[in-house]
Amino acid sequence: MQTRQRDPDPLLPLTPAVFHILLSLVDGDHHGYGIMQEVNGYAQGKLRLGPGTLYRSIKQMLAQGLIIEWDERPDPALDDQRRRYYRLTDFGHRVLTAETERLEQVLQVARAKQRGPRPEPTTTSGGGC
Amino acid sequence: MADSSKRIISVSEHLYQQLLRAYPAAFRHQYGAQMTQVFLDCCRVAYQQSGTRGVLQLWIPTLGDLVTNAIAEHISMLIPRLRRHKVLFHAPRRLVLHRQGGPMLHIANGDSVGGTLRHTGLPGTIVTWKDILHEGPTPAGLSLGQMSQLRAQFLADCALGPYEEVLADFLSRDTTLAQFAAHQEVILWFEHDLYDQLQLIQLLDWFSRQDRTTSTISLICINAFPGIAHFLGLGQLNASQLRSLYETRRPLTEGTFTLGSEAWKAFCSPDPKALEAFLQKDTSALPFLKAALLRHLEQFPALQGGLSRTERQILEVVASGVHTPLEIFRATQEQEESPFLGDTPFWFYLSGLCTGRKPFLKRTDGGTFSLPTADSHDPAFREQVLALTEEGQNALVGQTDWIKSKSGIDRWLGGVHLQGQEAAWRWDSKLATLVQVQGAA
Repeated sequence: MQTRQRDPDPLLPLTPAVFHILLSLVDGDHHGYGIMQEVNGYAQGKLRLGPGTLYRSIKQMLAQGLIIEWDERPDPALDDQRRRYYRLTDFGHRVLTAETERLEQVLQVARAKQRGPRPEPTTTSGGGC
Repeated sequence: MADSSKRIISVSEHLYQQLLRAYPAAFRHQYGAQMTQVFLDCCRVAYQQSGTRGVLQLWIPTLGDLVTNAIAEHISMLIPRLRRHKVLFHAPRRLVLHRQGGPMLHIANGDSVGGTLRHTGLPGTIVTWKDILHEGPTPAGLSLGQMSQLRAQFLADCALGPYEEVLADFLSRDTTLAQFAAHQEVILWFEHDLYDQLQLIQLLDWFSRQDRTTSTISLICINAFPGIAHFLGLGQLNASQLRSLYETRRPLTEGTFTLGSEAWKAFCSPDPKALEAFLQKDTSALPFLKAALLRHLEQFPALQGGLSRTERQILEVVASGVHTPLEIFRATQEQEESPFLGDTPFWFYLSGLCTGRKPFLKRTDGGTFSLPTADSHDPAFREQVLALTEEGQNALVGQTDWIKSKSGIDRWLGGVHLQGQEAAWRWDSKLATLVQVQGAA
């Protein structure tokens, strides 16, 4: 039986928090604080994920099937058993790719507009202000 | 760690835990501990970098995060309720009912009952529990989330839906369940058959491990309804009939949660004798459970012939002159004391008997049995005519063994994985007990 794949488009655009959480999970599973560290690392302070934003986003992403909870720990001996790990689903991957492509298109338009000729300044006769 | 750092971090933790009360109770139950853990991690790093001043500075964005998200979470929980109850503005009677009953969570045994519940006038959230737990793996020791992932994979492997959709459906279900504490009452709507009883014990096991102090968990579970001669399930009832059951609900006791949890653990045990041992207990608090679990044991390969009861019934009805898939399905349902198997999983039983080196069923036109492409009304599917093969005829008189004909078995029954050239456990229908097979893997 042919399988149907869920369409990522209805979930776009993503909130910055959801986008960055997805991005942080591309290279492997993380617990909440791990996600926060990862995002802080590459966002260089431009995006601050507090615990509330983090877990409200996680709740939403679990419900949408973008991520799943994962009990396997990278190193159980060194880890706190109470932590919950999160893993990107295939659908989460596809949503991230779709959002990245959307942002690329927006970026292209923004760059093209910045490179293009500036509009002629409106000339007015008469005195200034 | 110095005393001063311990103190500032300990005070911060205590304060943060108090402030978490600003979130809705369901969200706090689900994520409060993790949020506190993350906040503590942040506190420790802030202290290492800038001492007490660092921790105090951390509080500024943390308070903003807390206030913003607590408000947002309250609103996000309120919006669906407002949508569900917008009709209240035009229906004063329902408003009264809502006030009397308080916010409810209804957990029903499928979409049909869930759909009818929406027309009963009963307020509340409805979630449907739609897993065919009598088929496929339910190994012991998994959390609900892990079980949902495994079950989604199994159902997708059976082509019962794309993995992502099934998983998303389960996760949405699990998320609603996890927020049960936001409701004053949770009502479980189930019937007597195996399909329902397994869902019920899975839920009772889950609830047995939750803090249930803020919600009443009630059960409606029936095997008959006045005026319906041949009661099969809640799906037969109209909204008015279903509504009448509401008053019959009874709050579940601690003993019932324990019983349900023990039943689920026995069902998920890799040792099927655990289930037989459980059936020796007094299960009267869940009056339909014993018969349902006994029916599950009858799905183990029979000592004579190696067929499950469902497979044997299929061969018997075909031998009696019933030949097309839908007719075979109806006729086998009539042989069940409490029909539990839906048509979709039934087609897989039928297909299984038509395949292999020495199938027990064949299409009379020599073609290959095909499963329905979209639905069971597909003419190419429903017009297939099936008959017993010679092997199948021999099986009915105990001269051929199904597992040997198939050169082995790979089948999960609850937590038991029957795998290898021979099934480790078979069902002795005469003695009504499981028998361990010597020499099986």
